[in-house]
Amino acid sequence: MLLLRALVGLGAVLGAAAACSSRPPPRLAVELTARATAKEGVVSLVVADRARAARLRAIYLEVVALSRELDQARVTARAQCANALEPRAARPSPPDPIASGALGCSIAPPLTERAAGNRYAQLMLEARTLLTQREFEKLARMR
Amino acid sequence: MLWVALATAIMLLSGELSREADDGAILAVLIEALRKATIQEVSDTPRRAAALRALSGFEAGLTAYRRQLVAFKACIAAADSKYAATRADYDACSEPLVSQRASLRTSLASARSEYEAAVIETERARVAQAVLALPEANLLGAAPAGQAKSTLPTRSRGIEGVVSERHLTVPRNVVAVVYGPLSSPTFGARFPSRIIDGGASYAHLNQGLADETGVPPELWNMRGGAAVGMFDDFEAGALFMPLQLSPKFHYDPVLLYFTQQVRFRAFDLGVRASFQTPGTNTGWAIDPGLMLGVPGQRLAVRLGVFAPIEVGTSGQKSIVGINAPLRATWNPLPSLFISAESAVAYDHLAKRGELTVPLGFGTGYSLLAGSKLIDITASFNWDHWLLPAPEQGSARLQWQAYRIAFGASLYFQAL
Repeated sequence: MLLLRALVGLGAVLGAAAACSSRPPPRLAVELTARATAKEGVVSLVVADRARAARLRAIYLEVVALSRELDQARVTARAQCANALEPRAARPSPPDPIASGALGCSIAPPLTERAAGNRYAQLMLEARTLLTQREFEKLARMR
Repeated sequence: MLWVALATAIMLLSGELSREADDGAILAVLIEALRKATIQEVSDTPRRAAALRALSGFEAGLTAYRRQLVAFKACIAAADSKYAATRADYDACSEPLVSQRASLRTSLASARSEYEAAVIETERARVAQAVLALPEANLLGAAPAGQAKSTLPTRSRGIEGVVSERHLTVPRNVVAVVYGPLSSPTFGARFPSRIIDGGASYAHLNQGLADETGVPPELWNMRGGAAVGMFDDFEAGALFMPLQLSPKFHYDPVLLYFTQQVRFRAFDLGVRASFQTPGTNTGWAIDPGLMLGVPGQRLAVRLGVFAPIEVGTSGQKSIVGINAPLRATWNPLPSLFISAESAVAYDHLAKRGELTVPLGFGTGYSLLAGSKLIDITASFNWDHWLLPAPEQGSARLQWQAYRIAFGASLYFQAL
């Protein structure tokens, strides 16, 4: 009984902590990875044909790799954007986040991740060709 | 709800939530810091007002960027969930981004010019110094091309479906509600006074063994609990509903366990520490051990070495045992598995003739129900199958002492 009460107490404390903290929206790469990995682990249970299941798993794993690329592309784009800005004759020390363009580049980095986006769409469309509608819907329910 | 709260709290405390978040919240903090520093450093009222207007331009830009991102993510998610989605659906998500981003960059450039015109260089240096002292300012020092590191996890956080492919611990944020035998947390959970497995079980002992061990010859148990992947390779859990149903109903000791694994390309190594709360005739018990798991597409092998120690109640000595279980699992179909297991167990090292070789078989079916995975499992074990060197007589097999267990375990992602 004591353990049960302790568990309920723990639940209440954690619930309050979780309720009080708002969850910031995850990055696109995190969302894509979460959707892909939720399906990757169970794809063999949904698709009986081993060859199709293996290709689907490879697709979902490639999405994870693409998500990493997306993350890297975002950071690289930001760095390139800041470097491409007009060089200042006398850069203040420490660098001014506004004058250096770093803030602007962080808010709106150039769209360099389009190649990864295109590949993602390609992979998702290929996944559909390997799945029946029923299998697709079963997997879609995972996340 | 408990699991969602637990997973969120762990993610929050370990900083994982902010690592996974988009940069919007950090940028908002930086702009607010810029605002505060500008108010402090720019004394001339008209120039200060102009600088703050420029900062409002950055804020508006950030809001617009976050809105665009939310719309883009929602559009991709909608396309992903539609079976009939075509290339056009995905293109429709990214097409508006180009013009939106271009107009955003123009408005940010004009906000930047306004700010630069309003704030003189010495003031800007002081503002920069104040803002760059914040930890959030690390975001602005972007890594050079090629050196950027992704903060995405190294282990998939989805449910592991095929039993033979599972690792020693459940992935992060995956919850296992254990009410069935053959689950990972109870692998090798053989204490000197009781053998612990999940689900409903019936154990039958021959009279000789019952007299020797003090365990009733007919025993019904029901054990359930939960485990959660707290980190990518760390699992904690408890069998907190351990009931003895017959011959006498009572609440059995609770089993708590923590497992940390290290994943290698072909195998996993794990360290597990289990604890058992005191029972009616036993004190605390601990069961530290090492595990080796070799997952495979169809065949998996799991091996362990555990040293269960039962600390006796007042006046009694501790009982120390050793148990080295081995389980092979074969998946003839991805959803169906069959297992065979044995061990070398010495339940009481201080006593002679306690060496036992158990033998067991199990089977299970993995069923996907919505976003949850259910393992329906059953096992049959001779826990004292072979006595190679009993204290009296020669080696013998004991077919009359067996245990049947069945149940189901549920797996789901808490977040």
